[in-house]
Amino acid sequence: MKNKESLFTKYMMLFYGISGPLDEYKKQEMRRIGNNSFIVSLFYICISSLFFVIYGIHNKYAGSIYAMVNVVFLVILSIYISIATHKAKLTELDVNDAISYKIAHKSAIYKGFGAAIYFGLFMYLWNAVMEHFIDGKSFYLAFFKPEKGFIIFIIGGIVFGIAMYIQWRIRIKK
Amino acid sequence: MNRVREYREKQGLSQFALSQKIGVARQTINLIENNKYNPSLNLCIRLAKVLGTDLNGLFWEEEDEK
Repeated sequence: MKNKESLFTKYMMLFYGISGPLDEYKKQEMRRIGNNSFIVSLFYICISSLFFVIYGIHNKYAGSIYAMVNVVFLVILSIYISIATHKAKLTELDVNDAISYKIAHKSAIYKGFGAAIYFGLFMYLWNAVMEHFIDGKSFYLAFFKPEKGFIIFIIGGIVFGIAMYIQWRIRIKK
Repeated sequence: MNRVREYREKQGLSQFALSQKIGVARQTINLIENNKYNPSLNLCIRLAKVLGTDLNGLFWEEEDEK
């Protein structure tokens, strides 16, 4: 029995790292983890905004501090989500025989390649935009002659792709 | 304890095979068998149909079993 999943559901599965069919148990766990994250985020936004408003009146660095604290909060939230999804076994991908193992392994390799290309491109574009807007370089120089050279993006992409491949490979359970 | 494992073994099905038949993940079957997850009525009915029994046979606890 296969239900057609919407694009949003597919995105949610990608976000939580869910492998295999999205059955009712996985949906329930996904909602539980999402609700927990939402409630914590709501409290965080209320309290941190209040602090920001009070503290920001007299401190010119309040905005930068607030942005950094937000990043720390996001990292903590991401760690919680990855631990919770792992604990609920949402990320495990079962393979029954040698053929399905081979298919899953091949898929992990393709995903690794995809992740490497996306990450390398993202880093390159992000760097070019930052060089243009922050360092004041022209668009041509920022895009075609990046300060750090092209090799840094290629290496970054390869490292990220390998890391993603290892992560997907670990999820395959025989 | 439910009797999902008992009926599954009677049918000669592995957890993976049963999960494929009813369209859920193997982990879900494992959690149901170990009473760690309460399936929805819809899933219970699908389980009962595939295992060739009814809901009472799968989930009803007799007094002496409690």
